[in-house]
Amino acid sequence: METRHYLLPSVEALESAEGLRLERVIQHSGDAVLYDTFDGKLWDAGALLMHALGELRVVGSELRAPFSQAPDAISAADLPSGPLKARLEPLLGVRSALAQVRISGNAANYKLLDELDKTIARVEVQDAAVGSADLGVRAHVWPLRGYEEETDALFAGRFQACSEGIYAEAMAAVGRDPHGIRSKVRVGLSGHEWADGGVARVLRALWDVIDANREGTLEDTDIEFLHDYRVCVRKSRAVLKELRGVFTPAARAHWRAEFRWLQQVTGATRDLDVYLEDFDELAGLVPAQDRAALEPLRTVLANRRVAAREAMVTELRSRRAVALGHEWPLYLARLTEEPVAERPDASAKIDTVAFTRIRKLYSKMVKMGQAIMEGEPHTPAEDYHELRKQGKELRYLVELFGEPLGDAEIVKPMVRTLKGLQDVLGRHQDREVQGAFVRELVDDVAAVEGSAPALLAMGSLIGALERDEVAARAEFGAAFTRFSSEEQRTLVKEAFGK
Amino acid sequence: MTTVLATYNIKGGVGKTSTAVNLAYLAAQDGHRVLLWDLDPQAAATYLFRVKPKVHGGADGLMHRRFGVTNLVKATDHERLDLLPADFSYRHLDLTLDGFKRPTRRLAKVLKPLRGDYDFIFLDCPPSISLVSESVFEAADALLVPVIPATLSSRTFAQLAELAAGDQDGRIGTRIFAFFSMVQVSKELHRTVMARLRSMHSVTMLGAAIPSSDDVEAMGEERDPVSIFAPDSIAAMSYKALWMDIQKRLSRPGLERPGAPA
Ligand SMILES: Nc1ncnc2c1ncn2[C@@H]1O[C@H](COP(=O)(O)OP(=O)(O)OP(=O)(O)O)[C@@H](O)[C@H]1O
Ligand SMILES: [Mg+2]
Repeated sequence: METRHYLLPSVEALESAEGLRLERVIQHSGDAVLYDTFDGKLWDAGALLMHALGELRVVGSELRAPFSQAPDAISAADLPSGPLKARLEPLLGVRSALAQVRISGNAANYKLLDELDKTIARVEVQDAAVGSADLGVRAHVWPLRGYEEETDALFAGRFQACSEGIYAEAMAAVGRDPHGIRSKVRVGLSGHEWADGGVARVLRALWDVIDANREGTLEDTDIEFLHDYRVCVRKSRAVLKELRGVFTPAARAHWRAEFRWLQQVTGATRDLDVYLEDFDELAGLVPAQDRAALEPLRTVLANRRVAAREAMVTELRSRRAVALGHEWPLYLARLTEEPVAERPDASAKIDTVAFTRIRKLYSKMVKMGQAIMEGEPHTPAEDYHELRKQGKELRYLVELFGEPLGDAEIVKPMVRTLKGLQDVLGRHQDREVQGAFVRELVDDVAAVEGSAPALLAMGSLIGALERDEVAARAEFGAAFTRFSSEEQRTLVKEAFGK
Repeated sequence: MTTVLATYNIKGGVGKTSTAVNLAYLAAQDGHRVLLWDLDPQAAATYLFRVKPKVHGGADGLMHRRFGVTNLVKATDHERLDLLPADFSYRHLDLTLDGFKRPTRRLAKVLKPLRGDYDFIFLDCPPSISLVSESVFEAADALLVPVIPATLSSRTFAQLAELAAGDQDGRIGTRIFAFFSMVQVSKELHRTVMARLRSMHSVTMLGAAIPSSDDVEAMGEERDPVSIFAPDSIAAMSYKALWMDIQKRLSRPGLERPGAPA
């Protein structure tokens, strides 16, 4: 049932309202802690998690479960089984719900009665604050089934309705966007602005996400921090690479080297995160009777991950990383003041620069793809890999510049076919890399006692990966034809032409 | 799977409503989703739940399914326990039903959209034998028949026997659980009556019985199930025992019916 929310001038205003027969059931004071993932998944699903009075609750629902403490982070595995877990588990996935804000204050629960002493609604009144920020007094009203109209008639017109609970305000009070922080950065751009200014703003927004994900990456809060960190590093690199004319050559070379380094030092850990995350799926490629034998491989992967993380953390705390974090935003803030002579695109408009590049990249990909098709069945895997890298860069440019500056209706179908192509290329590439990686692990696993069955199962896994790589290759033709069709070429010209 | 249980007796004032209200409450307490439909225009059950005896569109609208029946349901003050209230127009329910081609199937049809929402549906019937009660027999999986031992007449036996006979024909397919209500008299009489009822193989006489009790009577004053205002009373315990007994029987299909297919 839908909850109604009202703003009250005071608790007394409710209790003394004429014609409202309220019976107080319970009054409590204490803290409530709101939880959401770093990227606001629970908020977006309307399933914010709250801890109060020794239990977890999904805000605005009947779902609750006893939970004595309010820790900093709660993962799906921490939740007691039951309907609450069933609701949250698919939303959380590998992410942890993190304590976002602590609300303190008083709450009282009432029954709203009619003239027969029948309860027609339950009412909760909160007089809450976050730190020193007063959130005001609010009533949340849940009419009982069959009593919606009567309840509304008693409240509406008397109190000011408000759309939300106090939760949006509580988040705002601690400076958090309830939608969280995502790697999908969107910066509002206008075609009239100069290219360098627009590019600087986009890069700055990407940096903010990288920076925001740093702590969770270092702390290993959940594996998505590192993922989002790396996505935004990769996007920054794509911008540096593709929109070269807004930077001086020297500065561009320097920053490209720094970001390449950042991506390199975080790569091994991310790969292992993915292997471990997808372990069961990978194991699913081998016959059922061999699956259990792969367990030593999991242990080897987990051990490697520990070592990789240690190395990564050292690098991310190094002087080089700290200097990058300090200097990059300063550089971006000054970008528009850099000498124009060495920056041919500095005095061009952002849409011209970005669209030209998008068109060029698109035709380059079409040519690369055609060469791949002609070269089959002898095309080296490397060519597919190169095409995929170009595809990622194109996708980032379209998302960061094409969507805000172009016609969304035209851009969308293009993104869809690009995504279809990338999925096939991604699977092809993943299988190639996974096969090589499993081969590389053979020595490690062989060192584990009694690992003969594991080695056999790994052999079977390598075979399965190779077969799937071939299968993905076979799907390339169709995906590429869609991507490079006459219709698509026209769309791209229409969307990004002059 | 929804189980439909109807409290029924042709006689008035035997404890049908008290039983329906208390058992429905206990079922909801067990975690089941429960609906009680007060079919009696006297609206005793509706009153006990403090709900106004009014159904939008009345008996006619309900039977012709003019408004979604799910919209006519009222939540009681007890979690998971809802009520489909009584309405004054129910006193013409027989006439309304008579207007249908298959009157006795009607109630089951009206209930159909509610089945997904509830684990148990209780029907509290007015004391009569009529199209309404026949319709109830068709809709219910089991009839719960309160019997007052002191006033057990041969006529009552005849009626029970008739009900049970219909049951055995497979015409009704409804199980019949009788139990003693308002028990007050000496064990002696109690035993004689029990013995007579046992001899009717087709009627299941439940072991649990409800004693005559001021606490049950006080429900009218308190307007709540006994378990709420007198949780430790003998009456509250007896309803619990009765509910357990009924659940046990329900989980063992059809044992009480000799000749019923295994
Ligand atoms: N076990 C009991 N002990 C004492 N009083 C009882 C008991 N059961 C019911 N009563 C009282 O007897 C009266 C009739 O009970 P109830 O309404 O439950 O019977 P009923 O069969 O539904 O009646 P009706 O046929 O009028 O619908 C009520 O006043 C009720 O409080
Ligand atoms: Mg009655």
